[in-house]
Amino acid sequence: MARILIIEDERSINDLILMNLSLVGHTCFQAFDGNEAISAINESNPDLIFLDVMIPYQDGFSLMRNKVFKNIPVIFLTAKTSVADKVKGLNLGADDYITKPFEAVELIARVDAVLRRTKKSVQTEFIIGEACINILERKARLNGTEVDLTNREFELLEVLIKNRNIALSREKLLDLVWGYDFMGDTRTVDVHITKLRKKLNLENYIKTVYKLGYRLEV
Amino acid sequence: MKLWKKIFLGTLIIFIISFDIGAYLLTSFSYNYSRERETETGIREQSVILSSVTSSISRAEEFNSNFFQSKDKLKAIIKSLAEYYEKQGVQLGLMLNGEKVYSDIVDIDEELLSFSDSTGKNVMDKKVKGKRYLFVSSQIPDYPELTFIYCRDINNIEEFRADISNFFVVLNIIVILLMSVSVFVLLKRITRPIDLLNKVTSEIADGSYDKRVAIKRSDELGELAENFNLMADSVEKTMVSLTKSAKDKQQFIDDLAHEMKTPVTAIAGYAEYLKNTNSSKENQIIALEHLENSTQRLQNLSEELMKLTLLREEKAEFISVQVDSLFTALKDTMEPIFKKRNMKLITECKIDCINGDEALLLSLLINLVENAARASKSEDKITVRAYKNEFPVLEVEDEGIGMKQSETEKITAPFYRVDKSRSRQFGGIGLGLSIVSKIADLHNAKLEIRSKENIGTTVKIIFTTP
Repeated sequence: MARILIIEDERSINDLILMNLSLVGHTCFQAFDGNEAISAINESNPDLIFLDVMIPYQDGFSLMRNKVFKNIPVIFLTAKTSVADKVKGLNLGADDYITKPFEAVELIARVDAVLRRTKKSVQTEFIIGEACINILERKARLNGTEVDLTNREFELLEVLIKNRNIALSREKLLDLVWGYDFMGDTRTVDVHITKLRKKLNLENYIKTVYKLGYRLEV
Repeated sequence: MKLWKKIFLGTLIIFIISFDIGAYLLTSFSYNYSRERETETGIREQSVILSSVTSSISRAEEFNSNFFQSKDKLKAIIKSLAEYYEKQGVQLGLMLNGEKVYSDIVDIDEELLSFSDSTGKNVMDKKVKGKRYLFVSSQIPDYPELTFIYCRDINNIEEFRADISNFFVVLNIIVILLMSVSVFVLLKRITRPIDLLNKVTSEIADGSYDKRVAIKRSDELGELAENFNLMADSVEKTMVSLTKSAKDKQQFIDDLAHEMKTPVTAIAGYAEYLKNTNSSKENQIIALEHLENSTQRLQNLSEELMKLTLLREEKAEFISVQVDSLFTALKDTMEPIFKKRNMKLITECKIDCINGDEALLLSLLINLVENAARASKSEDKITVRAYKNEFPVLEVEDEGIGMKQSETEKITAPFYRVDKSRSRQFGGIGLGLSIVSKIADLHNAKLEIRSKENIGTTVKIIFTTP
């Protein structure tokens, strides 16, 4: 997985990003001000940088302007909802932005999207128990034999893999897999989960979390 | 219709009417006067001619009693007179029993020939063929069958009237022209400032509050313009202060929202994390600690905001406050922090009392000392002084990191931080100096901040009352 440098002076936010990204397997490094950031880049050689704009000594925009990040993709964090701020960041070469407050799922999705666009090698094959899933080819094998999955089942599996170790509610899964305009009931999710577990032998990996939903634990 | 047009037309109409009435009256008076004079002259002249006619006839009759039989004789008498007077524009006529004996008169009216008594005279004037004539007729005394008629051309009075009328028409035109031009210029001079005021008023109404009228006059319009400018000044002043206060409030709300974003993001994020993940005990403790700290930060924020709100409504009642007991309370409050960080708090008290609110002054000192402590390293010392120059002064001095002098003007603004990460480390939320400056305001005291980077900061509260 990717190496990610988080530059944010608020310890609580810095830790929060680190803990969430660690869940899906990224290796994270922390910097708490502009000066630390410069040395951390050289030491950690990151694939992606999370950057808060308002940091001591050298603010995020001036770091970008000074080309400190070379060609490393940057997602900047902003507490301001003003369009001007976002446009300024993007114009300075940031790849994406995220505004406070944010959800873990959004954070992970933006990281994935930026990595997919910028990193040459992104993990596409996952081995979970006896199952092997290739997201790029959209194929799943159980003990070497290909298993036939419907489109929905595969998309559900993909969402679970991308947000592994995080419990996703049935409503969230409906939103992410079926889309907001899907009129079905949350039992649709249960039915698909049951089928996935059976087809790929994932009973011990896709856990039902009491009162919450499902979590893929790896 | 514009005011100046109304006044212009009104003045002109009134003037023309009165001028023309005057001209008419003058003309007709002088006409009547000269007509009377002409009539008097006519009557006198007729009497003179009549007496000479009468004497000629009576002389002739002495020679010849049959004189009346011969019209030619009568004619000869009158004709010679008529030829003589013709040169003076007088025509004469003689009638015998209503028949013409001799006449070179243009037209004889019947009225001239009838007499109520023998000594009476008939006087009339009338126009014949466009010319005015005066007719005077009378019976010749002693010869009632003879009527003598006198006629005189008095057309000159008509000509005079026509001349004077023409003169007045020309005069009228000239005077109206002169009058129009001068009234127009005068009115324009008077209404120009009004137009200017009008223009500026609508500009101000459209939002250009800095516009003023430039009218320098000593009359009522000048006064109006002056008062108008005074009004515009006060409107502008009010607008500026309203705009500034609205802007400050908006800024405060924006800053507050921004200030709340970080703890709120952390609280929501860690709650989500704890709920959705099967995390290790160690990570759970980190998450819970962050939850606790963020909640504490929100709580501090709400407390400080509350203080600021209360201060705004405060009507402080000032009493004489013992400075040394104030310093003792300050030391008691700050001791735990100072002990923990191994710093020294020194107090120097050179005055007994300060007029003010004890709780507020203590809160002010605590805020200043906390700020000083945040800027200082371990083992640094912070000095609090109370002394008197002209008026009492409270002073807090530290040997901390200091700041640029330019920053000292901004630091009383809510949420402004010279170095945000450092201040947050010690739990500051950025409202301390706002509270201090509010308390100073309540005491009519001035806040003076002197600072040098890496040398230290001195904050003085200078009272303006003894």
